[in-house]
Amino acid sequence: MPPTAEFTPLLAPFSPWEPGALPLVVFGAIVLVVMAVILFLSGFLVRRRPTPSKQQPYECGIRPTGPARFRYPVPFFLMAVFFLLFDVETAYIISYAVAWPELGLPGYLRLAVFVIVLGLGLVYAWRKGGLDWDEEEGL
Amino acid sequence: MTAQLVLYFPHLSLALGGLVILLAACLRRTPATLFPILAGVFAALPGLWSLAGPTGASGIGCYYAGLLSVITLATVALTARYAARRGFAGDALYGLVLWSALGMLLLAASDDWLMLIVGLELASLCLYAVVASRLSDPLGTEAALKYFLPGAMSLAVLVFGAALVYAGSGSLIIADSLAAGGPIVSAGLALALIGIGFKLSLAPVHLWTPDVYQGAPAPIAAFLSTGSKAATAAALLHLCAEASPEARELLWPALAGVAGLTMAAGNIGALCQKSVKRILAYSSIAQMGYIAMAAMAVNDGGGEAALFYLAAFALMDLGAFGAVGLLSGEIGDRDDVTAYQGLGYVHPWRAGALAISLLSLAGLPPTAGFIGKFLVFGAALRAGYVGLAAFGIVTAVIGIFYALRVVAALYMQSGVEAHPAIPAPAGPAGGLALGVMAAGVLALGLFPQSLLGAIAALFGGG
Repeated sequence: MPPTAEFTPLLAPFSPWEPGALPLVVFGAIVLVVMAVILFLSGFLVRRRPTPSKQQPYECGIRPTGPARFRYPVPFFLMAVFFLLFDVETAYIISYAVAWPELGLPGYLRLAVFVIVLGLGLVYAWRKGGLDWDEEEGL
Repeated sequence: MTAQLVLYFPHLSLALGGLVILLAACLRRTPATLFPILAGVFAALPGLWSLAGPTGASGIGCYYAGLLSVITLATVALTARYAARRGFAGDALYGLVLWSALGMLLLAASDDWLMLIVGLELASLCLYAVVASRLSDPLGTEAALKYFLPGAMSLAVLVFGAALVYAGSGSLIIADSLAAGGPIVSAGLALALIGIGFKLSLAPVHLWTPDVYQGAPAPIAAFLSTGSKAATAAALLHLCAEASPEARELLWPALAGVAGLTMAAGNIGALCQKSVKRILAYSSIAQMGYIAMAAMAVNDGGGEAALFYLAAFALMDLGAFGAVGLLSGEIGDRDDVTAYQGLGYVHPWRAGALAISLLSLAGLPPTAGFIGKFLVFGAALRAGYVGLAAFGIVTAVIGIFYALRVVAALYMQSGVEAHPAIPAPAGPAGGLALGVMAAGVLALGLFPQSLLGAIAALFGGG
């Protein structure tokens, strides 16, 4: 019987230290120091000469138009939420279908309750106009 | 099958109640007054179930079915006319309140980490939406957002804690997993307590509370501060009761610090507030500090004391927020302390209920708040937390001041500066609920043995 090859990692451990908290602490300290230095220098070295065009919000070179705070139509958002809900339902039903032989009638009844409740949810969303693509009113 | 149906009757009735209300809204021409009636009926069923004393139900499940039934029923009664007059009554409001109560019931009676998380999240998700139910009110939307974002964060912390407990013990049953002990379980328990402490608004993570209570409609704030707090406190008591001695040694000093800080932050923070709803919010923070102190002494009688205190707190906070809601004008809530001047003479009943609730929150006899504080401090002293209890008593004395400030505004000024002078009529349901709350506060203060006996019977003569 040939001896089983021992597991050898492809790479030597990256850290010269034993794996532990020290590398993390050093890394964290470096991050904090670099951040502090950058923040300090950018505040300390800068000379501020504001001009109107510098004061504009940056819009990738395009002149900004209109206010930034406007009401945004969200029918797509609602559709996305509904899709997510019923997508998850599909995931449950498929996992149930895979286990059908073991679950039998009790499993069928339990899933039936689940699907019926979700169906009632669909009816509710429909009646309340959640499925209408109306950019003005929404749900 | 039948036994299970009996066992889960409160859960089924709350879940079905929400469904029935939403389905009723799908029918054509459903009268809007039907929704609160349906909600009331389905909210009352768990209470009747717990009064009937079902066999096989756990003590805590029975107690909380009754308590949450009272809280939900009172919330629905206080909300009905309030919401209808302000144009945000609807099927979703009542359905979500019922489902939120279902989540609280699951949370309070959970034996299992998963059930605890599912219950907490069901209760919170519904509450986020209910807080923002007054769509035209920017304060309400802001409150919902301020509740939702840190709430999601705290849930992540709680789930991480539960995952660590599972990793350290290999069990999802709360009692078994915490009994296993070990550093990973202790770390997980600490994280879980942080997540629960957020929902309870314990001190370093309490900052959302005043903003949310101020922005939420007053009856909803009542539901938020009583139902959700009572259920989460049950989870806290459960975790503390099951914690291993090793975890206690590690976490109890921190919990003592949190409890002391919460009492101080709540009572001192309320001193210089001008808004009554913010005062009530800070006061509820302070009460949760006392609950946290009782949770530390949970195995020395603190559990029973905390359960009594939670019931008393539910009654007095429902009374206080309910009275604020019923005294409010058509637009917004009556919020400024100066707007309450002289109301005690114009609207003696509603102002009287508010005064009784405030005196109870301050812990003055002969109200339920006094007995509750007495029991909680007694349990803490018996468990040997003398310093913390003494500190708590000092903060409680500070807390009397802000309650008396509002009471003084109600009665001591002769000139009626209240604006608008004549609020909307209370309506039969709201008036009845408010009266029952005020009477309950006095009754529990005068005859505490009635509830204490029930608690002792449910928890095996504790």
